[in-house]
Amino acid sequence: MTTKKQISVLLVVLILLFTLGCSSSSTPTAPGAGGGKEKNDLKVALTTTPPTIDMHRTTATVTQQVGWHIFEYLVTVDEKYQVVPSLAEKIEISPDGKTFTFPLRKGIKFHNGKDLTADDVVASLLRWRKYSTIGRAVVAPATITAKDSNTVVITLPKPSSALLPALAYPSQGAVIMPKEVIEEAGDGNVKKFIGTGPFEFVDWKQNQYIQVKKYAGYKTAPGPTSGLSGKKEALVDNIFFYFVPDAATRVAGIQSGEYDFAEGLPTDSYESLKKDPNINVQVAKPSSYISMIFNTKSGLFADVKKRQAVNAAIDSETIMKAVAGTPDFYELNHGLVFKEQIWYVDSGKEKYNQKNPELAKKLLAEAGYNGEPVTIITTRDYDYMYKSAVVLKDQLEKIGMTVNLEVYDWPTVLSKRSNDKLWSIFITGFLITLEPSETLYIDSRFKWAGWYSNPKMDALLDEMREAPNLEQAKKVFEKVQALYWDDVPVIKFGNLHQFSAARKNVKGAVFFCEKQYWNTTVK
Amino acid sequence: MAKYLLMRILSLLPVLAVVAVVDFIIIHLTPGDPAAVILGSDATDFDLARLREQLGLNLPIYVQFGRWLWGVLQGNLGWSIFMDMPVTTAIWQHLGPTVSLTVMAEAIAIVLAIPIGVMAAVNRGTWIDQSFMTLALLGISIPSFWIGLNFILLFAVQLNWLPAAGYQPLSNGLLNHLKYLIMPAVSLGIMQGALIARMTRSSLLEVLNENYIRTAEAKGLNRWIVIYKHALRNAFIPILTVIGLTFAVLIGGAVVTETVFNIPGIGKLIVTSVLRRDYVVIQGTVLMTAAAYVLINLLVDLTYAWIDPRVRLAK
Repeated sequence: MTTKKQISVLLVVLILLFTLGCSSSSTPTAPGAGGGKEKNDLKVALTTTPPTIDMHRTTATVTQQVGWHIFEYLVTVDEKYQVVPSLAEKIEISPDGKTFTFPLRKGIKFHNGKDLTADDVVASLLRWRKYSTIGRAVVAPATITAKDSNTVVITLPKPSSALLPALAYPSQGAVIMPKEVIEEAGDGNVKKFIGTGPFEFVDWKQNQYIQVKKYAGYKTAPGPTSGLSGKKEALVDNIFFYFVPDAATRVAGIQSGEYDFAEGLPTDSYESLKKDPNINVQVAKPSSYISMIFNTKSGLFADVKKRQAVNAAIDSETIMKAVAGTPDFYELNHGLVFKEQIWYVDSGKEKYNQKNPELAKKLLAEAGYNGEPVTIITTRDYDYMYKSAVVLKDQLEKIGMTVNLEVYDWPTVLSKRSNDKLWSIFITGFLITLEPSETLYIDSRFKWAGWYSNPKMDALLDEMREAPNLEQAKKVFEKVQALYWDDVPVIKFGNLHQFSAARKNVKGAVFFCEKQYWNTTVK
Repeated sequence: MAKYLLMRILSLLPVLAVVAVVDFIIIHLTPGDPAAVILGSDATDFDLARLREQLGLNLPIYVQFGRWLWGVLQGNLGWSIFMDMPVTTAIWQHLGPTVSLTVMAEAIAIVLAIPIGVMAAVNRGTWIDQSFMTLALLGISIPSFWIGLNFILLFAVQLNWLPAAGYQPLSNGLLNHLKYLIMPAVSLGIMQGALIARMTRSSLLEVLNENYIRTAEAKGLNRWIVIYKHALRNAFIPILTVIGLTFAVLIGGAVVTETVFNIPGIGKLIVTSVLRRDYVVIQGTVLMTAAAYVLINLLVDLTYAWIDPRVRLAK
């Protein structure tokens, strides 16, 4: 064979290889442009890819956004954030407040056709307790047993008002999976995503989408829909959760109809999307709040007086305006819980948003501050973190502090923040909690970044958790919140609402804690 | 030729070895770890430490490198922490979109660039030459993602002709496949085309001044036959080099374009893996890209001999 012929053969082989490569990732069920419309499918653009949809293992919000369509909780919350049964038929609490009995609803089947039993619930709760910070804090001393095949009993050494909210907490939730799936997972993530929810897992195309489909055997909880409880119905055949990290692409995708719903949109696209006749804009609240976290373990802000000085200087409105752009997307509020929640109290309000640089300078002088550098670590990966860090730097410099702003990608911030020698302040957001003792940064035993520790606070939190009823627990919470604003391990800037948009043909997608797509139609 | 091929393929090994070591060191010197990303922002130090241990991230770097290298030598690029699959599978799954995009972008680039380059060279110094070369300069200067975003605004948002983003494999129908790829391919193709057009022009200009071209024209041959059969063929080697290089760059993943158009190709795999610190995937993808780069260049060298019979491959 001549050289020319040999080369020709090589070229043909390569072209064939290319063609094979092109067709290797076939996705027969993926909707094409407009394909979802005929098929009664819902296409949702999420901001990022979940690390896993094993909900026991991660606190990542995106895992919850997808996962709670597949999995369900033993108990959940209604629209007033009160805990009500979900997979449980009812909740029976013994007179001494130490024993919680959960008979299960009958006839519930997992997506693999297996009946839900108390053994599945026990295995799930034990696994969740192992991985969840809140689970360990609240349920660690408990014994969790199956009284019979249909009844689960949790026994605590002391009464606890925190148990039920912990079991209902949506993020890194205590969702129920089959016992066999949990046993198969061992110390790793579950290999099969099998739950009892209105949608069942179909496919995960890496860096493209997760597909869930309507679960024909779904048995909904009784009663009308309220918060996360009551009637849930899959009204679309499939949901495709697309991962679209680029914000401009999400905006263009919702405008062009490529997606039916888009999450986490930039607020500067609010006006143009509002004017679009094909789109409904949605401002979701209460959703989250943003705060700066002090390193209270070492460095400058181990000294409470310096933290109080910074708190005196903070102008929350300027920060929130820089982050959200328009008042439609933020709310100034001091509470560790949202005012829509039954736990909401006023204590500490006077210490929030003081905007008093003179007081700040005085407190700094009293604390002996001498120009030592403050290191703020932040990231551009989350727009709100970077914008608020820039304004914060300016506000701190105005009271005479020396500030270094260090900008990294998000994994680097996560890594650096676990080393107390590398930073003074970082900024993050917190999702809604159902019970205030779930707040990560006030309980020293959670050992969360910032490492705030005050035995008085821990004692108050225990007292609150062990209170016999909500009224008494709330009284203790008033003291907790007041002490928080005295110690200021974290300074809350304000509540940030979520901006999302839906095509006009999407009905019923509700935001409660996070967006949910059961009871949603797309016609 | 077989010996030549074997030698060239063997010369891949030191390149890949250097890439592997440098790649591993750079990735592991970068702060951040996958455990923090897996567990999320609310994870405590306790949970992080436990997962790091489980994933083997607390082992000394040289042990981690040794384990990875041993796997690579056995043809195993490792296991992706996040995707829960072998790295080779992950790369293979993401290769299809990138190959499609590359072939299409390159085809658009060649179809546009060569006639433009030829026209510019033939009409050297005239307004045609100047207009084409200004266009080419614009093509090189404007970032492809900017062109892409404007395409999305025009063709997807305003006119609603094409989907704004996403990908459909060839198996879901050729038309569907092309509908999703045309905008990213054109936005990438414009830049590559501009490079090729400039090279075509300058290379052709050199050849057009040669005596044998003058002789051919003096013999009364048709001008276009002279240009295409005698001039362009002889001017083609540098053009082919540029085509090869642009192809190799694209096959390594058009990172920004794939992100803007949400195409699940190699570029997106790299970005996602870097953001998640999925070390083995980054290492595997970089190794694959380096190998592809060298192999494409080898292919270009082989093609020289095909185009120009005077080129002889070493025995």
